[in-house]
Amino acid sequence: MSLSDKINKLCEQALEKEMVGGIVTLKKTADDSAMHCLITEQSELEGTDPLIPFFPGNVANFVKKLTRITPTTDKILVILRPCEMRAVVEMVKLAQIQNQNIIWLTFDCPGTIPRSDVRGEKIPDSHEFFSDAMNSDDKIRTICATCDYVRADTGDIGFLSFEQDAPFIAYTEQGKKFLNELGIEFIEKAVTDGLDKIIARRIENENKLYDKLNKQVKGIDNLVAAFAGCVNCHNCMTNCPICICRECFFESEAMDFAGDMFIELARRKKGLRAPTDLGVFHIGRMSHMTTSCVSCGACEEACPEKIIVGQIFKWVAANVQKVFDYSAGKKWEDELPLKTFCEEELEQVTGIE
Amino acid sequence: MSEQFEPKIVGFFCNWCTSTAADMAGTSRMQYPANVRPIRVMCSGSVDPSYIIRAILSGADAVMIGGCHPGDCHYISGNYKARRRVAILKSIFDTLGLEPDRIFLDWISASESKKFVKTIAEYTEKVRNMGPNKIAQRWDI
Ligand code: SF4
Ligand code: SF4
Ligand code: SF4
Ligand code: FES
Repeated sequence: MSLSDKINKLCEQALEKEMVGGIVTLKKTADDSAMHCLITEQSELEGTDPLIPFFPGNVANFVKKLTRITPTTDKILVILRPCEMRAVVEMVKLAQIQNQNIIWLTFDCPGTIPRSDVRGEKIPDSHEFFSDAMNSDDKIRTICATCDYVRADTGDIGFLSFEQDAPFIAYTEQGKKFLNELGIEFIEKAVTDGLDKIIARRIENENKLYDKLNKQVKGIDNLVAAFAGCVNCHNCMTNCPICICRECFFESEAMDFAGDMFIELARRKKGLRAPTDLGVFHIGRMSHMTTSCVSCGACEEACPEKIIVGQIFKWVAANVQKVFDYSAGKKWEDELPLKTFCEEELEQVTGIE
Repeated sequence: MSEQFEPKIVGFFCNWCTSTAADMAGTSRMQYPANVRPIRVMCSGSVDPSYIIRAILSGADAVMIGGCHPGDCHYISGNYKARRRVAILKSIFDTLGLEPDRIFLDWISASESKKFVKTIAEYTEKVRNMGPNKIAQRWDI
């Protein structure tokens, strides 16, 4: 049985026993595309592949919509990647997701292939892809190849796809009860043999990425060059699970000026790039949300201009989160850096040094 | 001798403290450099980092935020939040290789007009030594 079949089997039984009213999983929409899908019947499992190496966007955005007005009456099983679970944790803290009647099933994630590499081709099935991914990071997104969080333990149930026999694990009482009712075997203490190997490799890649960005994106000239092709479509923001504002500040009237002001700006800046506000938008967005950026790369996948916006945000966010000893979406109990403060802290920030 | 560089500094000053200190300095005829363009805000906690970024990218050589001393904010914790936001923005500038020192936060109470004058003078001097803000003169960002 393939790894996805094992999860699909669980889904089938959960629907059959009416333990859930719906399941959110990944389903093919074409040879070169897959989307998240809420299914409510066993027959709809046809064509689903929860582990397919394709990232259509962060599923946390859909769960937000699903629970915005009221949570569902029936339990919903959501199958998701570790970076998506991180986004869920942040969004629950940000009061964007009502975490009721949801069972979170997270799997050890081998990464996904960039959507642009798959377009016009066929997405490999997860079982073809998995063995490759265990040994090399060549085909996956840079965001995935540099991800040090390939297993989330914040959900209810885990699927340890890197380990011997790929066991399920229960992380919460709800998860335990669920698996027991299904009569599915599970472990309660995590094994990390497969995981450790992958994480070591990913951390090495991550450090190399930061070295590269320090050389290639740092500094005014480099920074401008990195964003040179940006068309200000704001897809990066719309696809970001952490950009939660109903109206983004950078799309508001605060970005409009009287005509003469644009002339004045053009005089000061020796010309004025249009579309305007490239730096105000990107650096401003960083200032709003990098405390919670979960390095999912949904922004970068959505960028029509292939700007490495996800890598840049991940790098900036790593340093911002370090200031507060915070790592977004990894622990339920850590408070959002922008929601709290200490009376005595950050003395280096005030005064002239 | 070449003309001395006069930096333009945008000041976001809290209504309850630094703005009052600035007014007091004015009414008691204390001299301080005219480089600061003050903007009165209701609390240092109301300064969104994007205002600072906007200023830095649109012609300011530096931005200064003046708030009430820790424990004295009229909205209880606005200044602590401002401090966190400034820390975030400085970290971003640092990572991107911009100049975090062009962003400056200090606590100046309503009665500290002397501190206000001294701070403005010192910071103006510091920014003068840093030279003009190059990113403000780039058309392409
Ligand atoms: S900025 Fe990009 S990488 Fe970070 S959370 Fe948003 S979409 Fe994900
Ligand atoms: S960039 Fe800022 S204002 Fe816009 S959606 Fe994101 S957090 Fe909200
Ligand atoms: S998605 Fe790409 S082109 Fe569009 S605003 Fe973001 S970085 Fe610019
Ligand atoms: S009222 Fe002065 S800093 Fe908040």
